[in-house]
Amino acid sequence: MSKYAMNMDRFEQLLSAYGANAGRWPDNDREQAMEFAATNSRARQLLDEAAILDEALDAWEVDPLQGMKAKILARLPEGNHRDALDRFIDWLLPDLDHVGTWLWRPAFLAGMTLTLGILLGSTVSLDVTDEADLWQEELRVMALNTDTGGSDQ
Amino acid sequence: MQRICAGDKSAYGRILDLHLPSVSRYVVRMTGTSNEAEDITQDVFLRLWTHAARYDPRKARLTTWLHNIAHNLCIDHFRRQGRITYEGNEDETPGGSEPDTVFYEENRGQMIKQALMAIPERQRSAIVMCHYQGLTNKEAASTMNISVEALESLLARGRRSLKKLLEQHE
Repeated sequence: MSKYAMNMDRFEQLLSAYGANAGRWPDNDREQAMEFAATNSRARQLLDEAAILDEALDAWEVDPLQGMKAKILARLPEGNHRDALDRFIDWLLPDLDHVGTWLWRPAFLAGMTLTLGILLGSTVSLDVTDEADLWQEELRVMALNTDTGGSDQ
Repeated sequence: MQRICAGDKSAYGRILDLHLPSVSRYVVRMTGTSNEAEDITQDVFLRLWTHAARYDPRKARLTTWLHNIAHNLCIDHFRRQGRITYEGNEDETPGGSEPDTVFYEENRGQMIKQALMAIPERQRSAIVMCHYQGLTNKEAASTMNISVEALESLLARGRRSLKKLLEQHE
């Protein structure tokens, strides 16, 4: 990666976001920022200030939760094979963790149903189209028209 | 992971040994209570069991993927409980109207915990991932589904709020 010149603005951004520990700085900034701090007294002062908050944050130590492995293993379903619909949707769609399957899946299925309905509606007609039915319809229309031109004497 | 997909519990157990401590610490630091953290951590790893086929090692390290699930479950949990804090005016110090009582703690670690619990969840999540969990900025940004610039903004606002809260207490 090409080196760029670190400046005070970017250095301050780094400290305000990541703190004073260079190990937490982004890889593409670290080397330049360390060189900058080594040659700039104001930068070193800012580093010392940022280190105070880092040190405070380190004071909250958290132990891992005890007995969790056994609890998780006890709750594990016997098989992890998902049903055919889930696997089909996994295959068809991207990772849904962000969207929430509870919302997306009904919407997706409703969309699929609607599309299927439109397709069916445009290709299959329930109207009378059969030739025999058309003939019957024509006879019915003719039967209604009983006026034969003055033959009732 | 392929063995987990095939239902191999011993492979799953090894993944638990490797990743459970780190993920559980993340969830404890997000929720602040071990009871809530236990439920959410269990859900994270149950999802690993049932959704292992979705993991793509070309896209992310396993720890990043697990943090992503944990982050989403935490945010869902806060939302269900009506605990989502919207990031408002930066000049307003978060933490409610009784900072003296909220932060009246002898223990410095407890004071930091209280301060972290008082800032908005997204700022807290960014700080927990980058400061405590050792995720890179790109991994943390990907986990939160935001850009690196947005992550840096969250981190900076979060650290500023924490500094204010701690100064208030001291």
